[in-house]
Amino acid sequence: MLRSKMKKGNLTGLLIIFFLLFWSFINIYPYLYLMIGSLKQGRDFYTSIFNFKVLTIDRYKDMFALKELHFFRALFNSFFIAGAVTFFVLFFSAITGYAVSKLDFKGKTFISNFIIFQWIFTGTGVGFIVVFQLMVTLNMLSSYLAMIVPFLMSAWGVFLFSQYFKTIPMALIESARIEGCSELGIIFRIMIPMSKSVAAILGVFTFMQRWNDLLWSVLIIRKPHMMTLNLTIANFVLGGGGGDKPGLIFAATVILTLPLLILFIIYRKQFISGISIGGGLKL
Amino acid sequence: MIFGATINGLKEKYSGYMKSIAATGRGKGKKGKKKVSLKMSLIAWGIILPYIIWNIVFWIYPNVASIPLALFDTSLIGVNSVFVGFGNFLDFFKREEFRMIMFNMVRFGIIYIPLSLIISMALALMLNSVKNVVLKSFLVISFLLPNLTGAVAYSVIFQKIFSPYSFLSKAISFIAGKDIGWFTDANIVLIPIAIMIAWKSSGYYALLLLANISSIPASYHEAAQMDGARAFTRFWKITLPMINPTFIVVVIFAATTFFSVFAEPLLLTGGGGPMLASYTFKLETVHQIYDRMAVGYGAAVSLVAGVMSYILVLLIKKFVGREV
Repeated sequence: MLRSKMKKGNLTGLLIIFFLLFWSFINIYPYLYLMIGSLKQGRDFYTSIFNFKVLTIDRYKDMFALKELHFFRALFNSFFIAGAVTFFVLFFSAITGYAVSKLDFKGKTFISNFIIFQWIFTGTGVGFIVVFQLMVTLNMLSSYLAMIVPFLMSAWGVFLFSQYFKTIPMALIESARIEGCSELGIIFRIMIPMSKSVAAILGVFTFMQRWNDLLWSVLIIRKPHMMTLNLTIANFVLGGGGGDKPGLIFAATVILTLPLLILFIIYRKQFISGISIGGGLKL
Repeated sequence: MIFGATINGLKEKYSGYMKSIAATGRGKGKKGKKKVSLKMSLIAWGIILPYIIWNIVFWIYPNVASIPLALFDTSLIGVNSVFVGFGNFLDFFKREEFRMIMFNMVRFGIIYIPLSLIISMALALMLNSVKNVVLKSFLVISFLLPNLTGAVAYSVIFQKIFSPYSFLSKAISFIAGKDIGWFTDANIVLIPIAIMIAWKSSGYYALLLLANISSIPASYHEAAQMDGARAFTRFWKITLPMINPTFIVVVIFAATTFFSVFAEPLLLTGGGGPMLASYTFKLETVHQIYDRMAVGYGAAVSLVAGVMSYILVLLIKKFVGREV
């Protein structure tokens, strides 16, 4: 760029980097706040954030010990629901994406257009009330099924997979067919192993959405032992911020954030490309 | 989120993309019509059958059925429904809650939209000029961190950051000369909520913009610089028109954010307080179908929100969009 050749360029560049680092500090700071806050002792919690003498893990011990929190059950529920949804979304998106991109069949154009149509209108949230009513009518409140089944399919996922499968040469599939491989065999032995990057993008975003979901959990989950970690913490905040143990909520929130942080660090590249492919975060 | 009508914006951004897909689909269909074997069709339909069944039950039916549902006074299980016509809508429009939601929407928009747009545009422009690859990827990753956490997690953190005994609150109280109750003063309760959501989304918007800004050929700027155009002129006449499609998407995302605000006021202001000063459409919907079990009323409320966000999207497209 021309600007770098100018004399002022260096100073401007430094200022820019300073501002960017400042913003990234603003982004990281709340996480530091959370981590340190969860490790502080009782009264220190109310003082400013870097004002502490001792760090303890007592808050975590309190959290595990508190019966009404059902901590491990809530953690299991969160993992189970988000994990199951992620697995099924990946599975169904992959097979549907394969059929749409690699097989010729009657009605293909209609189905392809429908998937795109659904992808565009996924956001218009009117239908969830009817689904909720359906769950109540079927007496499925507080069940895993009610938390998992309404999210089994993702038009965005089908779209991602079908776009990716289009780049895989047809010759590969033809030769597998000649060898006597069935269509499902082709999907699971050839297509899915080749599309790990797409699967990672879709999987990370799906897991994140389900893990962080609040609205649907609020509507569906009515029994304490069925609560997800997210909902448990929300209930605790609503019920007065943990009463005499304020640091406890911070400890629970650290646990809530940690799996996503680990996922993000492992799959950061897929995460970033997922954003450029099409608003994974907003879907 | 499954909700929030923000996706309309994507239609704009990917319309070319989709047309090409639709076109190739059609082309293949015509060419391969003779080749399509019955066996292959059966296999293919067998593979996509789960997708179709799921769609009919959980997507087409709910979305279609919610429109007539809004015309009934319906209990949760659907028995004893009474047809009330537009009664649900008229009742909603008459209530204080509706007026406050509209007022909040305007107030929230005035704070949040400029804040998030200015921050994200500045971040995108600055990121674009960073050459160091390692530094750039560090910055990008740190800008995405806020998007990881759900509303619950960051509400817990910001509740503490905006609490009276935190450093930030103390500093601002010192400057203002009085104590500020961030979540208890009806006049300012939307400010911390807007700041939180801007904190969360600015990095994401910035990356959306950056992807487009970095694809503008450098020669455009160099040519303009030769002609003596200043930095702001170049931004206004070159960068902004070139990234217009993405910019519209970001504006739409920002403008329709209010329709999906739910967890923050629920947790931080006890569900829309003080005096409904942070009440939103989503809170009202959930209040109706959860607390009052008035499913028809809830459907009416969310339809009103949906129609409004759609009108907003159309207006933005009309006034912000321009031909390049």
